[in-house]
Amino acid sequence: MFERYTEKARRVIFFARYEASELGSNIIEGEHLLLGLMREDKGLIASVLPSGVTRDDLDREIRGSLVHAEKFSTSVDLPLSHQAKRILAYASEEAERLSEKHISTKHLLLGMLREPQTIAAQALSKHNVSRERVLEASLLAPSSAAKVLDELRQTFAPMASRLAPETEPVTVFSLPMPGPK
Amino acid sequence: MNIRELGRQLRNRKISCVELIDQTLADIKTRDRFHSLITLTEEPALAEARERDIELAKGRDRGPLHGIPIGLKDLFYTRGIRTTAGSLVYKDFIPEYDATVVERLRNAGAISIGKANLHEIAFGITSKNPHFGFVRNPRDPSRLAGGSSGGSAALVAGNFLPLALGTDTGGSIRVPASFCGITGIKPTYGRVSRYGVFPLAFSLDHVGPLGSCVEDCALALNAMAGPDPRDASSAQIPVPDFNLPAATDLSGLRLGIPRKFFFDRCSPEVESAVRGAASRLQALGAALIDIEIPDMTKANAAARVVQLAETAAIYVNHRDSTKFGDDVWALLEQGRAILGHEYVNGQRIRAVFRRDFDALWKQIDILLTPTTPITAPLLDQDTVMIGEREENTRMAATRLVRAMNFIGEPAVSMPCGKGANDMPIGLQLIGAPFAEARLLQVAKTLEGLLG
Repeated sequence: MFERYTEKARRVIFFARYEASELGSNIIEGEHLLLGLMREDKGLIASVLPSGVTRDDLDREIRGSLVHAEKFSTSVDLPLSHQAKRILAYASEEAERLSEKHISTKHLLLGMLREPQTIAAQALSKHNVSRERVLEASLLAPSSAAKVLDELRQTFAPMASRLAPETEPVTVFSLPMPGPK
Repeated sequence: MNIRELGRQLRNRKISCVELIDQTLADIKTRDRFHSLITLTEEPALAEARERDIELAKGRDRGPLHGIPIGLKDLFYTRGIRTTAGSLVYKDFIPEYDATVVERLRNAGAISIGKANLHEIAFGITSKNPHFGFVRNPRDPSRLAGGSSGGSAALVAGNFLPLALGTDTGGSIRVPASFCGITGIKPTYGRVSRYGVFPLAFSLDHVGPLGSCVEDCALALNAMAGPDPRDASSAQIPVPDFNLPAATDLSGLRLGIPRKFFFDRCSPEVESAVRGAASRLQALGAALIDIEIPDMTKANAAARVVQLAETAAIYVNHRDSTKFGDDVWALLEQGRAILGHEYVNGQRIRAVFRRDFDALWKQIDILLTPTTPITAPLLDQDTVMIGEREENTRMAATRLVRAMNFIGEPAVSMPCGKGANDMPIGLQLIGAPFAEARLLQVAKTLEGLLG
């Protein structure tokens, strides 16, 4: 079932299961998926929340609206609720709709927004997190690769610009020595 | 137990090659809880051991490695035995030939017992392999063994074997040697053949041994080093005996202690252990020279540009992100975004550093530094504290070692004491190109002094 999930998306499910058992739920609900996602993809959550609202605020709000019960052992296999299953189905639909091969954390978040009665969707919409907001944030967010390279280039680019024109690159290329005739 | 001691027992007939391999295999099966291995090769190992026993009985001795069990990082091609590179992409790959070094070690009598776990495709220093298990540090299984040759280091540090093969593209032999408290050498670029080794970055990849002591590494290098017509980067340079006796007098040795960079962001316990080791060498006659070195921050930046681009080139046809761990995928994405002129200029910057280091070797013989500024972090520690400053674990672990891949200098990592958490501290000795024999001799001398 999770073959098309990215590693991050898979870990969201793993953490959701962990959250459910920690919170004493015998079933994985939408809010556990959201808590799992907030653990796994901090960058995505931060990018969709309005400024002034932190991931910790959201975390507190969700946990505050939950009934805490006795912890379950993590070795007990917890099923997904009907709502949670629908969220996963929506996530897969979202990936198809966006012509994206893999189901990522973004698609899971979009899936959550499409089950409006859940604690997860309500907590998100309270902070104006909408489908449009998620899509916009994912487009605007510089890729993590770009961020790393920007930093690397700060040291690299000035050095490259100071190279003397005649400096030749070190390469691994060498020609064989001519053998005896 | 080291190679010399095992060799003595084999030649005294206290134990046969088959018995030694049997014991080693049994020991691994009962005690290896560190995810050190991806594939255990029992049958071929026992078959080779039987041959080595027959040879010894007939008086044919292949030398110090005869009958010695070793491990191979699962990056080395082994004929008929799967070679995964720690990756899902190659999980069923069975090479049709042996890597040159595998062949040479076997000809020298060494017996491989299996293929060691590693950081996925050797691109990283944690060895938290999402497909084949997280390698754990035998000195404390809650900690990183380092990487990418993490399984190789764990096999040696866990006392399963005296020797394992590794590779080093940005510290992958020296970092795990440092974290696990063993010895490893990244030889000079071109000294050891890379034929039949999964590449990570063509102009930075090196092959080398990890051993229980300096002599183990020297003996392995004796068997491994030398020109190979099948590897274009292989240096046409004669191979000396790398296993020289420890020196009793180091007069005339100019030992460089870098004024900048290496001790700047370094945990105090690591700094004091490494400086303490320098004093021990000084007491034996070495001159300590406080020395200005080229800008290593810049060398590291250029090395990263070159590595990212070369690795991306190798994996350019693998576009399925679900086949890779997140960390490796992120690095491949970064590599694909490096521009052509940046790669070329990275290689030109390398020429500049090459000249700077050639000048440095006119003033000193060996540069002494820490290998890693920290001891082994916990498995899930993404950042480490060095003094008041928080640093990404991967960046901290590779900061002091990466530049040597870029300029090609040989570098040894060896243990020198322990930190407050009882984890080993690693010291790095760097030498001029192709000066491994002297480098290993000084390392062996220091090993004796440190006890």
